[in-house]
Amino acid sequence: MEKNHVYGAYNEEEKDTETDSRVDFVVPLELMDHWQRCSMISNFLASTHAVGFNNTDKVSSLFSIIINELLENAVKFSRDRSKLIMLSLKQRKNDVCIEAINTTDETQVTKLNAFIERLETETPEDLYIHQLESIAVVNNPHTSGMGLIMLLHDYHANLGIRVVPRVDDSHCYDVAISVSLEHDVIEAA
Amino acid sequence: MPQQPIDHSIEIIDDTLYLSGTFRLKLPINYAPIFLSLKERIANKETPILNIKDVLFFNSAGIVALAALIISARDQDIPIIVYYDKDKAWQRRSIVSLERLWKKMETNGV
Repeated sequence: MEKNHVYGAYNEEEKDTETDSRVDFVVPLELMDHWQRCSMISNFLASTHAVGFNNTDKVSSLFSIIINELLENAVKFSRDRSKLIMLSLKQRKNDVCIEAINTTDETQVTKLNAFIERLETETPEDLYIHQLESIAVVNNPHTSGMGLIMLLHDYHANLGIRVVPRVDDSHCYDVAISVSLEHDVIEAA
Repeated sequence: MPQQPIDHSIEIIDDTLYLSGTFRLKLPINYAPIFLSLKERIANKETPILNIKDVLFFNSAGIVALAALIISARDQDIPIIVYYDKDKAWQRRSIVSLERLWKKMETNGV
């Protein structure tokens, strides 16, 4: 199996990515046994980061949706509840970048790599409908990456995915997923 | 163990299912009780009517559950009516996207 996989924004050269401000938030997975904490953490970080934009309420709502989908995704696909999820919100010159990093196993990485292949070959429109049809019709109990597809399709988000094997455990991988939105897109939310 | 705070409400008034608050349940299957009355209407060949204009958030699991409801109506050739808040960007975006699933989905931005 290919050990590293990089998609989207993480492929781009470092350009103009100087960070004006950055908030990091560490979430112990054990806390997420209470699912509602995903929403509470998302709302807290979103409202904090929306300050300074013109329409604070709408921008906060947008950030909350993105943070919540990334956080829910990281919780669902983490395999060791003793580990941490790293959330990072970066305010940059032209955009805001929201990133979640979690640790997972080989099984999940194989699924994620298959998902990345679909991202690379299908349009967001096709992916959205195909995925909804396939997981809704069979009453699949899982959402199978629908949150990320929704961010791509509904918000035209610049998505990045990076899978890196951990140096301390060759069977574990750090998965970083980022969503960045240009300031004018955020203000038009 | 402390009880989880209730952050949403569900009401049925005159055949319409009104949802309000935050819906961020873990899995699509967790939404089954919420949409039960609309599933029953589809089974009885009646048009399901859903009003989400007071919903603050719906996560992707909720969108999948709503899509399943729409597809279920489509499979029975029954129209579905959804009222939403056109001033909430996420509702506008989600509803426009979901409209692609069923041509007899009637959406009303209020």
